[in-house]
Amino acid sequence: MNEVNILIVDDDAILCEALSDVVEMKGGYSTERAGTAREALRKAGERFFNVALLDLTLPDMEGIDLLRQLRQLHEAMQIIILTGHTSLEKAAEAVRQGAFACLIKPSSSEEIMGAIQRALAK
Amino acid sequence: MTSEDEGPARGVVIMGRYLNDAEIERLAEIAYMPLELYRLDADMPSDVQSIRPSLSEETPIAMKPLSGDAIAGYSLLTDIYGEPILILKAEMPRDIYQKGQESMRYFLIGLLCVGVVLGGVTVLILERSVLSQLARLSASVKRIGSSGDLSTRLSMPGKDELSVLAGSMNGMLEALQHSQQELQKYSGELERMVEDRTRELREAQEKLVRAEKLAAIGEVAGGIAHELRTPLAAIKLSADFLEAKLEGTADEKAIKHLVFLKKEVDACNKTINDLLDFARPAKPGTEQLDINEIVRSVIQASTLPQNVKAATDLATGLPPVTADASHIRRALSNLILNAVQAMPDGGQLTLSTAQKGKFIEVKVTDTGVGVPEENLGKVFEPLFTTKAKGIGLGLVIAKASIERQGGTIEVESQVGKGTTFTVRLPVGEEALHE
Repeated sequence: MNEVNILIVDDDAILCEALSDVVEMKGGYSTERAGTAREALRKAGERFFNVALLDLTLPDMEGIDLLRQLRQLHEAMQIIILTGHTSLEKAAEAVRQGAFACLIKPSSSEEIMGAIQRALAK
Repeated sequence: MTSEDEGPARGVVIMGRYLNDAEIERLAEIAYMPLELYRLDADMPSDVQSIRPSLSEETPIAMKPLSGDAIAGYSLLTDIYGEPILILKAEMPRDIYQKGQESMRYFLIGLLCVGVVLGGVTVLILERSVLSQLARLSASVKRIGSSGDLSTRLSMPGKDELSVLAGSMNGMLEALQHSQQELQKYSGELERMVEDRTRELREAQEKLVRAEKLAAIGEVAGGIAHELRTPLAAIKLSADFLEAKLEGTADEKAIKHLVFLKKEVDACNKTINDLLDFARPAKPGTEQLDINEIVRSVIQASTLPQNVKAATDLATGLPPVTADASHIRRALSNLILNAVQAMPDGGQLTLSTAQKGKFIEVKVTDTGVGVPEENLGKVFEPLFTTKAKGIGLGLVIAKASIERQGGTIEVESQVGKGTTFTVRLPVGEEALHE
């Protein structure tokens, strides 16, 4: 079976790293980290990611726009939003734009792993 | 010529007498009045001269008052040829006139005396019956005027004009007093109205300040929440990572501390969520809720200390309330948390429900330390807390949650006895018809 690649996009480097460690250890997936939307798009252009974990607030772009562009690059890529905002409107907009799930920080590793597994099963 | 004076006269006998002073004197004695004779061809005194023209053969007698004491009579005497020759003047004292004058004087004096006496008596009577009464009336009126006491009445016994006047004045006083009372009433009402408006204005202003404070907190909270949630997420994930890594090793203490970390992250997150409730404009819910069901589930979900006993007194047959269940739950759980924190040494927590008209009432009662009266108004103010724990938002959130659902929340408390929070929520139909 092919390797599962997960892209983690958050401007908080520590969160990025913690998340990638948890995902690698608990799911056995390989991860890539990006601190900006531009970096994320570049990495997504280089290879396919099964799942992307996106923060909605990025320094160079709104998470929703990144979500749209990533979906244009890889239609099969499943996107999970991980945000500190609890705005229902933003979450609804993300889902409308094709997000698989929307998680509110601080989510536990169980919640995140559960979402990733459901996204992969789709 | 006969003795009957008939027949022709045969001759004339003339007899005479000297009209000298002695004769005049004799005549005066006979007449009992002084007599004087003046020849017309000689000098005459002025009074005789002045009377002379009015004497003639036709009017041989004239009278003339000489003074207040005497009057004179004048008579023209003729000689034997019928020619005027003498004027006889007879002077008479005016006794009757003088008596008349005297009588008049006595009469006048008498009249004056009687007048004075009558006047005095009249004045006395007037003084007794009218003037003293008038003075009394005047004094009473003056007293009322100076004291301003319109309840005083004038007392004037009798049935005369003065008592009628006093009665009229009493009537006027009555009317004045009535007007004064009306005025006082109006003035009182006016003052009350001004007070009411002032209080309403102050309350509105306080409400505005509170709303502004809430909005400011909400805005700050929204920003802080996002900033805090990311590091909290990182802490949580790191703890998860370590926990998974240490799993199977014997280091239970390390694992226990990782659990502490995660629990504290959750506690931080709860505070953030509470803060965020201000930033989020919640709309009134439309769910039809069984309030008893919510009360039961909230108590079940609450972790109560061992020394706090919980009881419920739930009315049956309550109509549903239209609201957002999560808001009502949050409000009630905050009230329960507050009650528990008010009973550090244990006590009784009671939740009761009842229908009061168009509202469902939920009471949360504790037997805790109570809130001093001066702090009662502040318990719903943001950041007001007397507890070492908490940031003073629990009750504010409870209030905001209830009010956003069209309800009200009130607090009563007695220091040392406990506190009761009363939540009123509109009954379903009522809320639907709004």
